[in-house]
Amino acid sequence: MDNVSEKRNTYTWNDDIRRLAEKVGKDIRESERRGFSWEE
Amino acid sequence: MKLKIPERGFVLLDTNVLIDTSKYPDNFLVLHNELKRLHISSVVESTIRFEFLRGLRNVSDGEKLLTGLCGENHLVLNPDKDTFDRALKISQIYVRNDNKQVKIADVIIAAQIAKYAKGAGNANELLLATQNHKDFPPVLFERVDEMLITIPDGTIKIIGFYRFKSDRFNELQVI
Repeated sequence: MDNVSEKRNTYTWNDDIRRLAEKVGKDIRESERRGFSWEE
Repeated sequence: MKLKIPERGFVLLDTNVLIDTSKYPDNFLVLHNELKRLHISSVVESTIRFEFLRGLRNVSDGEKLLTGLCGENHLVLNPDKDTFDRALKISQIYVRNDNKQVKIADVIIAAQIAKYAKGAGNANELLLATQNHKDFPPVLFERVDEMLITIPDGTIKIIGFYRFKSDRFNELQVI
C-alpha cells in the first residue's frame, strides 16, 4: 500500500456527507422498488 | 463500539457497506466515526465504484458521496493484468476448496486486497470492510474485527474487517 499511498486521504463524515448519503439512499430505495438488485 | 484494526491503516469499503451507509446513514454513523477516529485512509476500487454507481439514477450524487467520504483526489485502485492473473490463482484455490459460488467481482476485489496485503512487500496492509462474508472465505481471509449495526427494522448488520492471508496464498497456489 505504501508505494501508492502518496495520495493518502482519510475517511470523513460530517452533516453534509450524511445529507448526501440520505439523498443517495432514497435513489437506491427507488431503484430497488423498480426491481433493481445490487446482487449479481 | 471501538474497532480493533490498525490505526492509520488502509480500509476498502465494499459495495454493500456503501449502499447501507446511504440507506441507513444515522445507523452507519458509528462505523464512519470509528474510521475517522482511527485516521483510516480511504481507498476506492474501480470494481466497487462501478457496482455502487450502476444502479443509481443520479450517478453524480453517488460520485459526490464517494468524494465526500474518501476526500478529494482520493486513491483509486484500477484492476490491471496483474490483478486478473492473481484473481485467476485465487479462483483456482477457491474451486479446490469448495468455494465455487464466489462472484467474479468479489474475486477481483480479493485480488486487489491480496496485492496490498501484509507480507506482499507492504508495511501498511489494505483491509476489506464487507458484509458479504461468504465470498471472502477463511481459506484466504482472516476476520480481524467486526462491527454490529442495528438498522430500524431490527436487522443486525455485521461488517467484517478482513485481512488477506498472503502466506496461505503462497502455499496453496503452488499445489
